Amino acid sequence: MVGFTRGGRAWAAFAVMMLGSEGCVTGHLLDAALRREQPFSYHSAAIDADRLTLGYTALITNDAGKALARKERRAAIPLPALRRTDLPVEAFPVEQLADDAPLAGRQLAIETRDPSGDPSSYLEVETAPDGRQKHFVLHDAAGGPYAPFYSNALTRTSTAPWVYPLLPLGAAVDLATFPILVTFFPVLLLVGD
Amino acid sequence: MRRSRGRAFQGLLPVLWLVLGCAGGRLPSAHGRPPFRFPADTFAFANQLLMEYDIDPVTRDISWHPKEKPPEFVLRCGAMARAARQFYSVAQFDPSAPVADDATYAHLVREVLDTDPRDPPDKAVVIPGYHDLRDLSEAHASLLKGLLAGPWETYLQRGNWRLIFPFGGEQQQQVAGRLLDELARGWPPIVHVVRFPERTINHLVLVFDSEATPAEIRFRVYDPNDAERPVDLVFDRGARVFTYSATSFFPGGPVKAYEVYDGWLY
Repeated sequence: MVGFTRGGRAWAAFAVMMLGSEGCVTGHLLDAALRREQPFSYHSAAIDADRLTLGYTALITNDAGKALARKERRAAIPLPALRRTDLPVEAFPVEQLADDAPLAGRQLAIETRDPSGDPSSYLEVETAPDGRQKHFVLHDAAGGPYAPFYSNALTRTSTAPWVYPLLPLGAAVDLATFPILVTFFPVLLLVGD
Repeated sequence: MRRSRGRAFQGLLPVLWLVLGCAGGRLPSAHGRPPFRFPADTFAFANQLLMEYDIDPVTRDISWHPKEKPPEFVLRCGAMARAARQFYSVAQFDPSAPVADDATYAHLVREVLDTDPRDPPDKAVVIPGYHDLRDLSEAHASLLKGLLAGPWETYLQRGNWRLIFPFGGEQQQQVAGRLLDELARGWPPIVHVVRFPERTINHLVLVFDSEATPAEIRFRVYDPNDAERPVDLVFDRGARVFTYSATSFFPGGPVKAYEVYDGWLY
């Protein structure tokens, strides 16, 4: 603690205690404000040089999975990554584009069954029983074959802004309840199962 | 003064270590048994539901009310998940031996249930006359129900302290990775599935199999509330979220999961 001012020590102690409580109340407030979005349906796709650009409708849900809204989104995926079969979605390189970014390049049809137009280049989309288009396969004679692309690689998360004014209150409650938690959980450890 | 503050801070460190949830238990050594089998290694009876659940088929909203006639064998998910793993890790069934009397089975079952659920002994408890736990619990349901611990074991499960704290995506990803590791070592982990502070689910299940794809990891779990079929606990690798399947008491959807009966903290 050498070199800390009294105020600095107080803030350091506060920070340590908040870390220690893992922000129980603030953490749950942030969870309640968490917004998660994943593609619901694809409506446009284009091959632009060495990437596939996508336009899709995203379904926005809260942390408990309740649907809250839909939003139009754009994203781009490098074609070399689409050719790989060993990439888990968490490692998939996705570029999030502006919601109004133009989808330049060669436009592709989006098909849920056998293609009706140009059969050599299209996006074959698979729809789950709940209506979500959970993955697609790009068919393009010019550059394939491509591996399935899973829509959850396009997951985005955000925080609803209403939570921020509540955080100081949550932090105060966390600080006040921290000693109770510290007392309580060793008791549970001792008497538990 | 400075020294005492330093000591106070040092005293706080173990507490921080505990509440931050960084303390993973050690992995039990592989004991060379075949993988956990469903339904053979599970109970023939189910933990009964205390409430009647109404799930809206469209909105998936759930409400509940007490059953008209309260069932007797309730709130035992923790006791059953724990006991199923104890039987798996300790009991050795010998169907070629003659069936024994109730007193003998009571003694043997107690012996199994008294073992450490986190660190089973090397010595096996031989149970004569039956092929597996399913077989035994079908023939001696009342005996086993009587010997299993009551609801207190679920309420006072040691790892319950963790459920009130938030779970982040990275932490849930670590849980999924650890479950895979343990299954690879032949050890079926027990998982607390929760949606705190909501009360829609607060449940203990045993994970016995998994299937990983680039999009998700699908864990197959023994849900003590359902003796007939396994349930899926799916980890979405993109959203870093677990999802529990729809059941008679849960509409299906995102949950938080963490391992229990694992190390001295959980």
